[in-house]
Amino acid sequence: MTAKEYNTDVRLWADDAMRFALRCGGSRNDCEDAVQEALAALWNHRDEVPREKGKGYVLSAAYRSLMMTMRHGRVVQMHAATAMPETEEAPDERFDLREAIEHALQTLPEVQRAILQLRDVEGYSYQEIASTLSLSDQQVQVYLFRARVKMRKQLIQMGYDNQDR
Amino acid sequence: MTTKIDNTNYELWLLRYAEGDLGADERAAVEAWLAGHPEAAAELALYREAPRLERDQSVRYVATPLQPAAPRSLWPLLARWSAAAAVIAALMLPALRMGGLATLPPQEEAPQMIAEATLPAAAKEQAKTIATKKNPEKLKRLEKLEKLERLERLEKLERLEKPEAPLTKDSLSPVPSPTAPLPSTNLIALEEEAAPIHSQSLIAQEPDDWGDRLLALNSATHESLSHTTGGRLVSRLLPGNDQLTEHLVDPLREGMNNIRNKRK
Repeated sequence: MTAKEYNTDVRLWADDAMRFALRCGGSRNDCEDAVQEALAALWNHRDEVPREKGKGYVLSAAYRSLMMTMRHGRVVQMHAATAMPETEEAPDERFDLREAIEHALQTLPEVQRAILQLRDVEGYSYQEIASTLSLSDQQVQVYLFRARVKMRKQLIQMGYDNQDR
Repeated sequence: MTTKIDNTNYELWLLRYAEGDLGADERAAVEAWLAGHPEAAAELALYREAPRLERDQSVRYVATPLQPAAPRSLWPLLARWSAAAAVIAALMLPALRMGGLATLPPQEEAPQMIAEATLPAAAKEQAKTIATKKNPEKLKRLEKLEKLERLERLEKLERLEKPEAPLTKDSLSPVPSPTAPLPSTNLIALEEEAAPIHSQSLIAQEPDDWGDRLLALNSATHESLSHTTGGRLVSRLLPGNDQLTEHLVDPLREGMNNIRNKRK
């Protein structure tokens, strides 16, 4: 992969990579760092990664990087929670549908969010998702089923049924 | 699918059922199983009702493009090579003016000189062996030189061991005749003779004057003594007595000539 090809490809799907990272969770800064790290990794391994698999490689690298960051963040939060008194969160206000979906997504495990994003937005096949997230095809399908069911349950809990959509 | 639908794998079956990936027989088997499992049927309904995610167009990520590497110019490289060539030429110019590199002394002399001057005894011995293997004449000369050095050391030792009456200023008189030769023509011996005088603190009161006295001596004798050897010698022999300098010019010159001849 030459520098020109790299620039062309990255310009095409850098937004997708960022969208995927944001969907997986984490702050915007964390996501930007993860994507940047993934792009750098792609350039460093440009001789080993076929051009047509560049996007998958970046999504996979960004996902791994983000998971590591988030796991570290969770550990920090756990320590903070043990040190700080718990505060009662205010009950959720009424969301519009888009916000409700985002909220429901946040209740899902990262891997399920990543699968939803790759399946719905990127249109990846199960094999591609499995390859990107280092899972088996069957795991991907089971996680996808559970993710959709759980998200729908969350939306119903928030007061959205089919008539609202 | 090879396995039958049950409580452990129903999610996989239901997803494929919902996606339309199953054949007619498999669909019938799923529907039959769902009839007995209303919770699973409810999950299937939830799956179908779940919203599909949409592309969020507001998200933008501007990746920093890689800059193509600038073509490398040959000029800096050429400038460096030219500078290096100029330095080498400047270094070689004197040798070329003197008639070329062929006039330089033979290469085999240099290692031996270095070995004799700076190397420790073992290395010196090894260098000598290597050098003399090629040239037996050189070996004989070296042995001769070592013999002379040993003799000089022996003389030095004898002089040190010989009991001497402490010298005083008076003991220096009478002033030696200008024509009389010095007791020894060997420079080292000459210095050693002067040493007792030094030990009596009769000399070298003003070391700064040594240089001036040496210069005076050089101009009188038209000889070029080294500052260290000549200055030390004259100042030890002739402390604070300028008239004595004149008396000893000729013997000193003669002594130095003898030393040179001996070395040759």
